[in-house]
Formats: sequence, C-alpha cells, structure tokens
Amino acid sequence: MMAQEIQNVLQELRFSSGLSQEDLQKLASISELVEVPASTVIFSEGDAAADLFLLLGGRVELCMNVPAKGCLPVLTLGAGDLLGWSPALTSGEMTATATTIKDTSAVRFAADKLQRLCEQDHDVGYEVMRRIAIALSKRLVATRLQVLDVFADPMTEGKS
Amino acid sequence: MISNASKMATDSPRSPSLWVPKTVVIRKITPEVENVATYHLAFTDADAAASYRFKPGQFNMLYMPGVGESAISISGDPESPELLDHTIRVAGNVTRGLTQLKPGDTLGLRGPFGSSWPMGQCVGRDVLLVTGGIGLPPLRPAIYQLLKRRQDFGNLHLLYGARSPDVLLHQNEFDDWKRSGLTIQKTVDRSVFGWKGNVGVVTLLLERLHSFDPSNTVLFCCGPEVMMRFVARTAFDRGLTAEQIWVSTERNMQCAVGLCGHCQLGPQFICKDGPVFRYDQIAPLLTVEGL
Repeated sequence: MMAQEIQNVLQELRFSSGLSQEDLQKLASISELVEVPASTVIFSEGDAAADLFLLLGGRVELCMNVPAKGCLPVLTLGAGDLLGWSPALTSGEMTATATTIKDTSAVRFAADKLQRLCEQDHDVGYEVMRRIAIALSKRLVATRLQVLDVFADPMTEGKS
Repeated sequence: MISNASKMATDSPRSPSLWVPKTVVIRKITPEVENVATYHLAFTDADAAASYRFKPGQFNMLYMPGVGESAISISGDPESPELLDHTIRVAGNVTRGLTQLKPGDTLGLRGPFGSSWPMGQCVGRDVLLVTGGIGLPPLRPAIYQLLKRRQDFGNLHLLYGARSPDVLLHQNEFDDWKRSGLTIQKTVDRSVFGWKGNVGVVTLLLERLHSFDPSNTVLFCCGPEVMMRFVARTAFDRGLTAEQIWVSTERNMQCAVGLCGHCQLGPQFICKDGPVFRYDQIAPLLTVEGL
C-alpha cells in the first residue's frame, strides 16, 4: 500500500514524472514518505551523507557555516525540489545544513539503496542520474545569477 | 511591430508637445528603502492635468533644470493620474539631484512615452508577474489594473526577487494586494538572520509555481536583463512560449522619441518601440555582446 502510494506521488513530482511505471515501482520500493515538523534539522554540514529527499511540500533552508557569522542561509527549497544530492553521488559529507522552516513532507531514499539500485539497473540508474544532473544544473545557473549580483546598484541612469 | 505603443510615441517626433516639459510640483516624497523613494507629482497646469493619461509600463522624462533629464517609469495607478507616482532609485546625476528636492519644489515632465503592458491579453488568463529589484515599480500600475478588475482574470501571481530583505519595495501594499486576489512570493539573493522567507533567485519560484495553466498564461517580467533571460528560459521549461512573455527593457534614454539613438538596441529604439516588448521580438538582441 505504502509503495503504491509513493509510486503515485513520484509520478506527480517534476523530478520523477515521465519515468516508466516499472522504474517508479523500483524507486518506490526503496523509499518512504516522511513528515518533518518545522524547525527540525534534517542533516548538518559535515554529517556523513545518508539520505536523499524529494520534497512534496513545506520549505527547507540550506545554510553554510561561516566563521564568526554562523550558519548563513544560501538557498531555500520547496515542493518538487531535490534535497541532499551529495549522498547520491558520493559517500562523503553533507555540504550544507538543512533545516525545515515549515512543516515539510518528502519522499526519502536511503542513499546506499539508491546507489545499489542504480548500479544494478543501469536503465533506471541513467534516468535517476540524468534527473539529478538537470536539477543540479538548474541550481548551478541559479547560483551563477546570485554570484552576478544582478540587483546591485546601477552605475548609470537608464530607466528606473 | 507590437501594437501596444502609446499614441504619443507614434506622434511626429517634431511635435512640440513631445519636447516641451510641463511643470509638475512634488506633492509628497515617500521613502521606500535605502536610495529609493517614490515621488508623487502633480501638474501645476489644470489643462495639462486634465489631458494627461498613461498606460501601465510607460515612462516619463523628468527634467531638473541645470542638471538634466532622466527616464522614469510611472509606478502609480493609471486611473488616478492626478497624482503621478515615480519610484526612483539614485543612479546618476538627475536622480541624485532629485534627492535634494522637497515637497513643493517643481520639476519638468515630458511624457508619457513608450509601449505598455498588454493588459487586454490578460483577460480570461492566468497572469504571472515576475520581477526583481527596482523592476517592481514599472509593474505596479499593471497590478492596480489587474486587481481593480480581478474577476476578469484567472490566477494572479507576483514572484518578486530582491538582493536582500531590506530592499524589498512596496511591502506596505502587499497585504492589500493579497486580499484583492494576488498571490505573492518573495525571495532574496542574500539572506540575513531572522529572515524566514525564500532564499535564491526568482527563477526558482517560477520553477516551483503551481496553480497556473501554462497554455493560458501571460507572463510580464521586469528586472535586470540577465534575470529576464533566465526567467524566460524557466518559463519555456514550464510550457510557455515566447509569444506569452512580455519584458520591459532598459537603456540610456535621452530624447524619448526615437531620434537620438542612445537607447537603440539593434533595430529597436527602446524609448518608442519599447520599453515593453513581446519576448520573441527582442530575445535575439539580448544575448548580443555590446548591444
């Protein structure tokens, strides 16, 4: 029942929509639905990479520790977003701290199971990795726009 | 050629009415955020006041004698033209000079100039207003018009990005706008402690947005050009076409009637063919280096 429910949820998420029913079934079999109350630390920067999440609702803040400044928010994630990509690609450490700002629901994948599935079934593995790459490329572009600081004060008058 | 050009912009550029500023008095100055204030202007001449009308998205040339002229979008309600709002960020000599003025002082005003947001195309459709930084004021007249005829439109969304929480504009109106049927999502590039809103660029809000029908949506976008390019790209990913997207562009406007060429962007004069363009009419020019 739970696996079928997750499969239905995955079908609606932009990360996994368009996958075959067979692939969705495989992903559903290694995942679970979780509800996380607001103000909960899901993982901390430096933690061993363990889980990957697809957010269904709510909001999660990612922050990074800066000496003497504390944990500075760099991004918020919402419904449809991928949270915790590191575990899918490496077995190293989490690169940011994730804290729920609102009550949040998500599909959680144990990273070791997801990696094993991708190794054993390259068809589903390709699709998962391709979708992770797309999600990361969008986040990279968004980060570039942040770095460009496009809202900084203009140097000359044009039309305000 | 887009069909939303103003009557004034299609008049002969030799018409004296386009070149002679009318006198306006500053009735009030509302500080918004650091380096940004809204100037509420009124014509001193009753006939000028009676005949003046503008459309959402158009701009005026504000003239400070001895300093110069600057193109400023009109940020007020088109149906209340007796008080003309201009939300101005200090960016050069004229706008810096304006900070020295006080209520009761006078200015010269030419306008309105340029094309406008195609409000007629919004009827019966969902409308996405995507903006960043000082790009909100040029959309504000459109917001007033949309909310006054709320029943004529589908879902209305404002997605607004700013550099940081302290420079979000017009927040004192957000509650009214929400009550009137506008969904508002804000995001900032750089967070501060205590900010519990979104962090990240405005394109991410568009990527996550629900409750709109891409096949029956109009998107208006105003902000830095690079932001608008990536908003359009995200909109394409969400199923919109270039014909559904309108952007307001910015260049160095001098004459405002397409004669001097300062604001030329390829074959387009931003002052008279724009500033509002349908995206397919201007997109190829936005990635040309040096234009």
